[in-house]
Amino acid sequence: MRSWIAGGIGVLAAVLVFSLLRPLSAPADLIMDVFSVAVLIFGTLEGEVSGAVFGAVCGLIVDAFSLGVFGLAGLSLTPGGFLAGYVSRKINIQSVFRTFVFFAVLAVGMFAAWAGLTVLVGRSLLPWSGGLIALRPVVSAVAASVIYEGIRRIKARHER
Amino acid sequence: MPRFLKERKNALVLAGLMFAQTILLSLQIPLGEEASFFERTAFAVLAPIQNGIRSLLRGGGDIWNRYVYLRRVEAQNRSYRDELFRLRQENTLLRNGLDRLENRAAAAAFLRGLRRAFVLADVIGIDAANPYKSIIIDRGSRHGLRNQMPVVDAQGRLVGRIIAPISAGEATVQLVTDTLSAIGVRGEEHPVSGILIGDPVTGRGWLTYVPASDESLVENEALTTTGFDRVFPPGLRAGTIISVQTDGSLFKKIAIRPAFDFRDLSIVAVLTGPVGENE
Repeated sequence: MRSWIAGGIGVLAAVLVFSLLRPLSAPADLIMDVFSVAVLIFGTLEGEVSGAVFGAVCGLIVDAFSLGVFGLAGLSLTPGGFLAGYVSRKINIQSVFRTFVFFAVLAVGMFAAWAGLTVLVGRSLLPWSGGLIALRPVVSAVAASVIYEGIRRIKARHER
Repeated sequence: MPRFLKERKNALVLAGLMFAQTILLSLQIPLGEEASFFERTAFAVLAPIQNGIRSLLRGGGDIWNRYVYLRRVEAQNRSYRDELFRLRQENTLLRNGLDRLENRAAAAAFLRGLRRAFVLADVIGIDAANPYKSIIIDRGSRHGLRNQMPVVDAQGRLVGRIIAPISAGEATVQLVTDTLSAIGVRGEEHPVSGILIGDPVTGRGWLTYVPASDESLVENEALTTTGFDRVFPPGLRAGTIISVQTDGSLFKKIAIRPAFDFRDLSIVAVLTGPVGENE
């Protein structure tokens, strides 16, 4: 139950940030995938099953706000959420740097899967915008690791 | 539950979710461009949430701008007062002109129709996967919006058209920079027609089906809609030619910069009247 509430709040927060990015600038949407960040953090915090479900929900939201093929984004975000939950329990991601590397690897994987599916299934090219989109996994990983570290410190303070 | 399934419960959940999404993909194949039931439902549920969030933020911004941050208000007021005066004069001149041209009843009907000819809308979201494909606006079927209605920006430059999904309070706008957008246009200086196709990779477009033998279209020439497609009224500014190339094929390769500015797309107008009544 707690996981579902956290998921709902996570989804709302992602939609909120996504809505906030638009007025800032168009490139902000390209270089920062808010939903990938949310999936990485939620999967790592709540485990593989919750991460996968959260990824599927976020995928549907991305596709609802997109003119592309419906169901496409979920195919990269669902395994992303699952792997974030599964792998984070198998390896040590206690330091900020390790968290960043872990998130960067997953973000690159999700980006590659999404790009491949967009080209193959969606039959459309990626919005390169002078290569800005290539920064997306790195920026997403930085944002995810900073937020995750913040959550971890708050949790640690509460436990003390 | 068998032990085999218990041990692999997590993997089975993942497989189930992936399978469900693959089915979702395959369900859309026969529908083509039409929005699927799932897409319409998700849009109907999520778009109002996004609209609510934007309204909330706008409300907060309004409080800040109205009661705290009052710099340049005096200068703005003066500028608006001058603009209002100019528009009133222009309006009076137009009304007088109409009265001279038509009888009073016809002129009044024309002015009433003009008020109903467009719906103003705020942009509440952009395409999550590719910002050059579509935007979401805060007006929907409740405000009279229907499929294929043209959308222009504050300067009257073509932005795109309304497409599905459309909910009661929100609608999707396909931008002219989307690949599936095809608009009949012609040169403002030279009457050469072609089809403007979007390019969401670069946020620009291509003017297609202009014969390679044609020499009249040149760089920096503005393009306006022809109205032949029965979707967009004629005369709307659609873009500007940025390069003209010939690569040995039957048609020229003409790159187009869209007329609207993507960075300045906060308010749009949906032309709700039929073609020919929006000019």
